[in-house]
Amino acid sequence: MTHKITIPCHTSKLKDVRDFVSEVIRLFYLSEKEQFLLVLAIDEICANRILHSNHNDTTRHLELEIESQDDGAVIFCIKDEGDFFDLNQNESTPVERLVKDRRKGGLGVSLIKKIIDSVEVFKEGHYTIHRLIKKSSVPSQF
Amino acid sequence: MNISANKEEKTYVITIDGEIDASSSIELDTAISEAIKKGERKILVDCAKLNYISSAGLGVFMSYLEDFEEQGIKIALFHMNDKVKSVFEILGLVDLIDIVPTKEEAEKIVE
Repeated sequence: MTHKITIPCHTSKLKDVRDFVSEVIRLFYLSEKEQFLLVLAIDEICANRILHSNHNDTTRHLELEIESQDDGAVIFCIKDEGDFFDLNQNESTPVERLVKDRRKGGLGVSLIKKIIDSVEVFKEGHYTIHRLIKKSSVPSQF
Repeated sequence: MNISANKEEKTYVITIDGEIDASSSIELDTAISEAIKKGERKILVDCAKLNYISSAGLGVFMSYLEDFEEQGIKIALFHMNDKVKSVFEILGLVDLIDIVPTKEEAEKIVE
């Protein structure tokens, strides 16, 4: 089953995204901490897309789909019309460097990479699609 | 999200109530910036009602660490729940900023 939400591209809508993700993944076999961190990872990617690729432009929309697989994996698909940016190509800046430079940004991509097992980024028409996969931590019985 | 600040006898206490994300992190930024401008040297952050923090909130704390060091400002976070603390732990930020269970422990750190 697929669960979907569409929001205008504005950071004030991130709370709606978090509430939606929390509500959906409550149904999956995930610990409370795993759920919390998944909500965080999706919040991070959506914030990134809204701010840096869609420039908080409320005339644009971001669509998030969540789907669970038979093997327990959870797939998050984020679709928007913003600029293409492949975070896999983005080298995470060491925290010590960010502190030295007094930078407020730069931690989000590191968080996503530590929480999510794989991220695919591709274009589909004029849409940019991010496909995030979180494998199940529960061993399969089959 | 609500942030309040209170000058106590020996410390300056910032209390966060709610969720800090890319939308609300500016309020935390303002609160810390004001504390520095006022010349506060012993800052405590009460996180008992902080339910969520994203990288935007972490980034605010991180961006002031050099200022704290240069200006001799001590800061400690206390009453943080385990889920929120796990966000600091994932990136190893617990090694850079003091997070302790109680206000008494936080007061000792900034003494």
